Amino acid sequence: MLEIEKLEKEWRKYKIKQLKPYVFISILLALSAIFLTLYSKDATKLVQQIAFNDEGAKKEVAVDEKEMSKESTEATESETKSYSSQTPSSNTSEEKTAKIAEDKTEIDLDSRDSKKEEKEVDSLALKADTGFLETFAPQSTPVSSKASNSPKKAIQPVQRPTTDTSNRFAQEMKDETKTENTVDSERAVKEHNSLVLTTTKTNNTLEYLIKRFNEKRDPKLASYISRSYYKKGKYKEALKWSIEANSLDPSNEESWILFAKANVKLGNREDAIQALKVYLNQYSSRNVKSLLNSLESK
Amino acid sequence: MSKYKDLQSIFIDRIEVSQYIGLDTSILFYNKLLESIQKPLKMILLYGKPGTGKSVLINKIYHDAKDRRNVFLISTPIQNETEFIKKLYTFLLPESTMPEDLSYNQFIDICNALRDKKHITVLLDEAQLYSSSLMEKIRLISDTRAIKFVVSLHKTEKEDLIAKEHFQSRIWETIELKNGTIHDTAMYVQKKLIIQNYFEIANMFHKGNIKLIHKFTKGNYREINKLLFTLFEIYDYYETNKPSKISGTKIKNRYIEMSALKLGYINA
Repeated sequence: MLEIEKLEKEWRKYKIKQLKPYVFISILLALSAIFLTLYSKDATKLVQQIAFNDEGAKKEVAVDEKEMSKESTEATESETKSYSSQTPSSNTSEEKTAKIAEDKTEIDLDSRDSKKEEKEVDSLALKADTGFLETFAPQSTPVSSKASNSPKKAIQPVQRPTTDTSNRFAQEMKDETKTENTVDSERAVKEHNSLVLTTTKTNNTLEYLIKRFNEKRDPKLASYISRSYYKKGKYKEALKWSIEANSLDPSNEESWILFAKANVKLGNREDAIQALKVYLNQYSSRNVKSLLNSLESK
Repeated sequence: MSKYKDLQSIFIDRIEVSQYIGLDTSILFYNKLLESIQKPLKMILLYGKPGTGKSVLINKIYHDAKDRRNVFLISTPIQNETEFIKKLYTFLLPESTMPEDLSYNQFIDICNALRDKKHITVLLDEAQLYSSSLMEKIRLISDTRAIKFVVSLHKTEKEDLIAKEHFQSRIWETIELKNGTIHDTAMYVQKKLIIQNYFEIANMFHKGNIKLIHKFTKGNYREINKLLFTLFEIYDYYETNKPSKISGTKIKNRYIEMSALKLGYINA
């Protein structure tokens, strides 16, 4: 005799067992689909954000351009005045340009700081920013020369300081005194223009870097902070941070160079030379040698 | 008798000539075997797994050939040697002429004497049940050429070996029966129903049903019989108790699966 009810129960169990793998696979597929859609949404959001940042940056640049064009015209006017008159007042204009140059170095440093910060916080955002800057780079050089002539074309110099920062840094590292004392007035105007573009992110950069250093104790970061202070003209701080970097990694040549440079700035030339010699006793470095030679020759 | 009870009876496993279904493969084997019987061979080995249709085929051959040729069938193995010899004697000569104490050697002599005068074919079903010594004697009888044996064996590794050892030098023809293909399964079910005039039931089986039946039974005709018997048992139950459940024009896979569960082909 058939026990149909028992058979029906068994059949239900069998069906559930049979469907299990399919249900499992479909759930997996559904989950992966959800994950993919969410991920793609995030990606698109990120892309949009980057695009938005780009636009924001462009707008900022556009605003800066306007301001810059005004300022550049003013600057060129003052420049021509100062050059044409050649009166004792030229000293004051020199002071101004020197100030501008100092500003420039600060700006460069700031822009670099802000770049670094962005890199550490969000690499994607940084990439987008750099990309944006790079797209402007090729146009910057030819237009910048005409900046003083036409206010419309004076737009371009704004990008130059940010794109040229690394090169300028290298230059400044090689010849410190030159960049401080001999400043081309036209260039100073350009650097002054770049102030508007970059000042927004500078205030917290060093604080952030110091905070990061306290967390990570990275000697490279310490020497970076030292360099930043050096660029800002805060030589005591630069000296302190170079010592910090050196204590973590004595072989790091930059910390020695910064120590020496900061000491020179603080008037301790002998200490600087002594330090460089100590370093060269243990390590061989072309940069340290050249710096030592330049210090000894003066 | 309800329709489904009658249908159950169609699929009761029994060896009858009427149960023989002329499937493509079985027709091929049938012709091959018939052809072999006509040849002057000593022994023909017919083997295959249980339920592949060996017994039905042998019965069919016996049924069709017994009038034209001297074909005899021993469907149930006779374990006793004397009884077996006596049985063979009755196939060759009238029972009245049989000596009372017929010995194996005497029978061999009689066979040798009849070598060119009489030839008969004896079909031995379930030959794996014969003892080794009796098989050896069967082999020696076949050497007289008075009797040709068609030996039907279950194919297992051990039995296959026995078959080879005993008959290798004498077997001229070997026929292996295999499980049916999905097409054979379909034809088997359809033909079985149509032969009994159940055309509407035959039409209720669709491709999916056949696939499922083939999957559970692997094309073994005995298993197909068992599965369909149980299926119609289930249908019979529903017809009596819950007729709404079996309404429709197609056999539900659910009931085939329930049958398979009952027969233990699958587990819950």
